[in-house]
Amino acid sequence: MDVDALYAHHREALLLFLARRTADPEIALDLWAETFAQAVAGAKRFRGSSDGEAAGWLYRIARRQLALYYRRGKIEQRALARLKLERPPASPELLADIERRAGLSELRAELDDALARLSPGVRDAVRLRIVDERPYPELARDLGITEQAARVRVSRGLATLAELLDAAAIHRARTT
Amino acid sequence: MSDLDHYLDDFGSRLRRARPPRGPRRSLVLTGALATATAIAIALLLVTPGRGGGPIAPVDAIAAVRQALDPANAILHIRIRTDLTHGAGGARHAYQETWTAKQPQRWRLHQWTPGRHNAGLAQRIAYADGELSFLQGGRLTVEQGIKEGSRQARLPTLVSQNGDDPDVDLRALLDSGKLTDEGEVQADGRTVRRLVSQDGIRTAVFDVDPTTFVPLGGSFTFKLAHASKLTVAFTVEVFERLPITPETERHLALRVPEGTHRYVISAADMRRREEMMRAWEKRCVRRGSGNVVCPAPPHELSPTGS
Repeated sequence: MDVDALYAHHREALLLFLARRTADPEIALDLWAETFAQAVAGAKRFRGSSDGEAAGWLYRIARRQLALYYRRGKIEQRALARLKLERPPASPELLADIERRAGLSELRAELDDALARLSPGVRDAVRLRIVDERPYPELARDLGITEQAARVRVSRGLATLAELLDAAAIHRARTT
Repeated sequence: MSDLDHYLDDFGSRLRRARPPRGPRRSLVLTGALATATAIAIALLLVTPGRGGGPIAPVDAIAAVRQALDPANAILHIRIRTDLTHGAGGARHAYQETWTAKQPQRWRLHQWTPGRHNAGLAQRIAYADGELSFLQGGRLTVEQGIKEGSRQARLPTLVSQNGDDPDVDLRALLDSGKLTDEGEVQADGRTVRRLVSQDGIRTAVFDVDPTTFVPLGGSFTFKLAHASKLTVAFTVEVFERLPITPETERHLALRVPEGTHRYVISAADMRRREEMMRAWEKRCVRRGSGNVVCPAPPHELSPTGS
């Protein structure tokens, strides 16, 4: 696989993809750099032959990095360390440019608007689960509902937010 | 050329010059204030509805929403049909149906062989909230203290041995070299990507969708005595991700008929059983033939402990 060509074709699109999923250009840059470092380090393991397969493989690496960041709040730098590679520091102007290209201002305004549309009960459930990181049994006790109803309320609240934000993204996430 | 273009060119040059990897080293950078920042950002948003006033940018709130969009927040429903050539009681097929969800981990498995004489062989197992429940022969056995993510809490199916979603599992096995890619072939009138593993005793063939890696079918061939073989073919009849709703959530729980006797093994009893099991295994002896011979297990280690 030609990693240089892969980088040339996807460098900006992948960065903006990560920026829209983290809403933070600095974190997006860290994830982006590790993704390409893993692609370089693992190119020998790639078994596909087409450009499409290579792109799919690259985005799978990126999604794994995203999932790790979402779950643990950590950004893995294993491949960057192995390659003794560091990404260049980003200037405030550069970060602002990434924000603009990724359309983050619009995304934030949409989220703000979307949260306001949730019913108070659902918003409470989302806050307890996502903000306070309370386990479902406690959350259910506080809201005076069953645990199953609490799960459904949180799931529905987040899904509603997401649908309001990006219907296409949720459709892709549910069907791929 | 913009600043971003310069930056991307710069990193591209660094990538090209990067030294090849020498050995595994692991380094994780912890974004320390992340949890606090998340809490503050979302809390501010949640108590400040509407656009007026300009609440603090919901940076990590969006990340939390994206996490909720992950397919892991769906219920994965799979039904697999196995074609039997020598089924008990003349049975021709056996079925395995599973529903799984994550965060928190919960699943239900139902295995059965159609036919009047095979009803007693049906197995119903579920896991949720640290409890593993077995419903068989009119008796419900509940094992408590089973930690999420532990070996016992995994749901191994015919198409996923790691307890992960099968399409993810198969990709990972291929990436790690544990499966061989035989490329696209025709099977049952459709194009599939064939993945194969061989371990000397068993040959496993998985036919997956070439694009999504969703398993479609396959077979297991076992080597038997006198150079004979036994092949078991399977077909994935259903593979779907369902949104979580009160209706779909019900699929994850066992339906226990009224009047079923419930037998609970507490977390403390489970630990005691594991200790007894380890002590019992130490009394097993490997014979010269290679066979391992064990004494009769203690009464308490029977499936129900009764």
